[in-house]
Amino acid sequence: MLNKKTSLILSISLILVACMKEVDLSSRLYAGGETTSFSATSNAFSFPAPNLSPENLHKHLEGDLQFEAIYVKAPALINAGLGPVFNTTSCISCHPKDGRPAFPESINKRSGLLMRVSLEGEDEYGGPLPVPGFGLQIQNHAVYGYQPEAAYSLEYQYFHEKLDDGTEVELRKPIITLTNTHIPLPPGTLMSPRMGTPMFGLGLLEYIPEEYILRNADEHDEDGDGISGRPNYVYDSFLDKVVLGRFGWKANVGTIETQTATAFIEDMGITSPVFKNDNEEPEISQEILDQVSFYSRTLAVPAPRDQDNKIVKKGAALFHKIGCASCHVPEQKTGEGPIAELSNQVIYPYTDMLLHDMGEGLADNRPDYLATGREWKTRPLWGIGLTSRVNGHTHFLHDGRARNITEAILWHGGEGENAKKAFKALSKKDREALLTFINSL
Amino acid sequence: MKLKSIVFLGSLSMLACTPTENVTDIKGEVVDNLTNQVVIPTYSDLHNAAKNLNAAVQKLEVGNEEALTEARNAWSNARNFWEQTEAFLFGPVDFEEIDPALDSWPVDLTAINGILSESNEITEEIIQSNPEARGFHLIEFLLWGENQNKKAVDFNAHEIQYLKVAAQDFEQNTQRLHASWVEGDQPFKLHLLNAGQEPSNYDSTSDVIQEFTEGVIGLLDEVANAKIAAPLNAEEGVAKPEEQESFFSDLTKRDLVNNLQSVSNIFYGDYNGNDGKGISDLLASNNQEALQAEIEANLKAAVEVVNALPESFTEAIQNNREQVAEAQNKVQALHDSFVKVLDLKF
Repeated sequence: MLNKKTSLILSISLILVACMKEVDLSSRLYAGGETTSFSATSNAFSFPAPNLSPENLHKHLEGDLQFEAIYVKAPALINAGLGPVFNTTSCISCHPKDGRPAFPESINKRSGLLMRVSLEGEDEYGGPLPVPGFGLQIQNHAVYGYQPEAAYSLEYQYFHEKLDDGTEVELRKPIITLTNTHIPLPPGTLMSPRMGTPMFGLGLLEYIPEEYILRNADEHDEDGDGISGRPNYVYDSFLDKVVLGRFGWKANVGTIETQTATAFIEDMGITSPVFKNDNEEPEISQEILDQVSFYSRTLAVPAPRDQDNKIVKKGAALFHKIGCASCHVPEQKTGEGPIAELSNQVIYPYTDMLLHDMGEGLADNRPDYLATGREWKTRPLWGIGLTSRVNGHTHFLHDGRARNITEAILWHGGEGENAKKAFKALSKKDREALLTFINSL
Repeated sequence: MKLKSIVFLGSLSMLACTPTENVTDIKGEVVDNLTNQVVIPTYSDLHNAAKNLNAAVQKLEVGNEEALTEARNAWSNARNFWEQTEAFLFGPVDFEEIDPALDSWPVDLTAINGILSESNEITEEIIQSNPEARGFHLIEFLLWGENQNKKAVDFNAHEIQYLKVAAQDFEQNTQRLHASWVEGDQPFKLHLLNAGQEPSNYDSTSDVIQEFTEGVIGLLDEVANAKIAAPLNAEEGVAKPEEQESFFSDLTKRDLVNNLQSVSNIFYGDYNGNDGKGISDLLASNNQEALQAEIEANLKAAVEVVNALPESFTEAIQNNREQVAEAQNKVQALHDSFVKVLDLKF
C-alpha cells in the first residue's frame, strides 16, 4: 500500500517525466545490471550472464545441455523418460532460443502452446481445482502406443479497432476447444491457452525482495490513478508454504525450482525427486534438476539498443506520459541471494511483477490463487524488441493472439484502458516513436 | 545449438567503434559473399544430395547389397553437406523448424519400432506427426540398424516402405530450407543483405557479422563440449558410444570433419572453388593480422588432429582416448580465438 507521501513523490516524478520531451535512457543501458549482454543477434537471449564465476559458468553450461536435451520414451540409449503423455519433448521447444515460441501454424502439431484447465472452485490452498482425468494441464501428445488426453480444435474471433486518426487494426482471438478427449471432459471445465515465455533474467526477477514489489502494489487504488496492482500468493508444494507468486502469466509460481520440476513432469511427463511416483526411480536426478534451475536463473539479459536515438527517447517520454510505466515499471533492484552474481543489481525489466485487471477482452475466466479470471501479471518488456530477430515472429500475450506490439497494446483493457485510449489518440508520429522505443528494449 | 560459453570479456568497457585509420569497410562485401557464395550454395548442394539420397532409397530391395551400399553412401554425402551448414544454424532452419525435421536427435526407437510393427502403410502424415522419428537419424537407424551391422537380407518390405517415405520427407525439407533463403516475398537472405532497412531483422551489417561469428562459435562449442565430450566422457573416464550423434552409421568423425569445414568456409569465405571474402579478410582489413594468423593456425591444428582420428569414432573414444581429448582441446582453442573476434565489435 502506498502511503500518501510516497504516492505524492511518485506522482510528481511521473509528471516531471511526462513533461519532458525526451527521457535520458543512458542509465538504463545495463538492463540486467552486471548480467547484461550486448549481443543483438538471434542468440541475444542465450548468453550466460557475463559475470558468472568459472564454477558457476560451468554449472550454467551443464544446465544448458540438459535444457536442450530431447527426451524419448524409455527404454532408450540416452535421454529416456518421456511421457506417457506430454506437450513437448525438450525444454527448448517451448522456449526456443530461450525466447518466445510462435503461435502454432497447425494447432495439433508440437508447439509452445499448452492449455491450462481446472474446475470451478478452489483447492485447500485457494488454488485451482484439478479436473479428474486431466489435472491442471492438458497433455495433447503421447508416446507411441498411448493415447493423449485430448486434441485441439481452433477457431478465431475477429475484432476491429480504429485508432483516432482513422487507422484500422484487426485483432483476433484464438478459441481453442478440446476434441478426442480420452475420457469425457466434465462440463464447466475452465480452460486457458498459454504460450511459453523467455528464459533470460528470471533469477534477477526471483531476487527482487518481496517488500520492493509490494511497494508498487495499490490494491484498492488509494492514490486514485486507476491502477491497482496486487501480488499473487501461491502455495508451493515443494516448500510446503505460501509464497509470493512471481512466474507464469498469472504469477502462479513462486520459485524457479518449482517451475522447473513442474515443467518436467507436466510438460514432458518426466519424474524427478520432487515429483515422482512411489517405489520408482525418478527419471531425472536432483543434479539435473539443480542444473536446469541454475541455468534458468543465470541467462544474460540483453541490453536495449539505440538508447541515445532522439526518436527512441521521445518514445520513452510518451511511454511514461500515457501511463505504460505505471505497470511496466522500468526499474527494479535485487537483494541478496545464494547466487552472488545476481545479488544487489539495479535492473530494468519494465514490470512491477503484480497482477492487474486487464478487462473483459483479455480475460480467460480461470482464476489462479488470488489472480481472478481477468487478472494477469505485468509482463517484463526487456528484450521484447529482439523477438523477431531471435524467434522469427512477433506473437505476444498469453495465447499468442497479438501479431505485433500494436495489437498487444490494443488488447489492454481494465486498468490498462486509459493507457490504451491514450495510445489510440496519439498522432502517427508519436505512435511510431512509442513503438520505436518499445522495440528498442 | 547455443552460445554456451561466450563470456563478454570486454563488455563493461564496450560499445567502442572499431579503429578507423587504415581500415577499409568490407563488411558489406563479406556478408554478401557469405550469404550468396557460401550459405546458399551449401543449402543448394544439401538439397541435391537429398534428392540423390531419395533416389537411392527408392531403389532399395530386400537382399540387394549394392543398393544398400549406394543408399548409405548417399546418406553420408547428404550428411556431410548438412554438417557443413552447422556454422550458420540461424534463420529459417531455426524459425521454420527445419532443423528438428532434418536432424532431431536422439530418435525415439520405441516410436520407430512401434510404427514398423503396425501393419498399416506408413504415410507422410505419420512421419510429420512423429518428430522424434524423422530425418537423418531415422533414415540412419533404418539403413544401418541398432548395432551398426545390418545386412541387406535383414531388411523387410515394411522397413523399405518406411525408408522411402522418410527419404521423400527429407528431400522436401531440404528443398524448403534452400527455398526459404532465396524464394518468396521476403527470402531470408534479404534480412542479411539489407540490414538496417525495413523489414530486415538486423539493425546493421555489424549485427550480421556478429550473427555469422556467433554461429561459428556456437558450433565449435557444441563440437568440443557435446559432440566430442559426451561420447568421450559423459560417464567420467568411460566411453559412451550411444552418445555419438551418428552412432548407427559410425560416421561421427565425418560429422566433426565437416563441421570444421563449415567453420573454414565462413572464415575464409571460400566454398567449392569459389574464392571470396570471409571473416579472415575482415580481420586483415582491420589491422587484426595477429588474430587472423592465430585463427588460421588453430583451425589448421584442429583440422589436423580431427582428420588423424580413426574413421570409427566408436573405436576412437575407446582406444584412442588421448587423441580424442586432444581433438577436443584443439577445437576449444579455435573456439576461444573466435570469441576474440566478437570482442572486436565490427
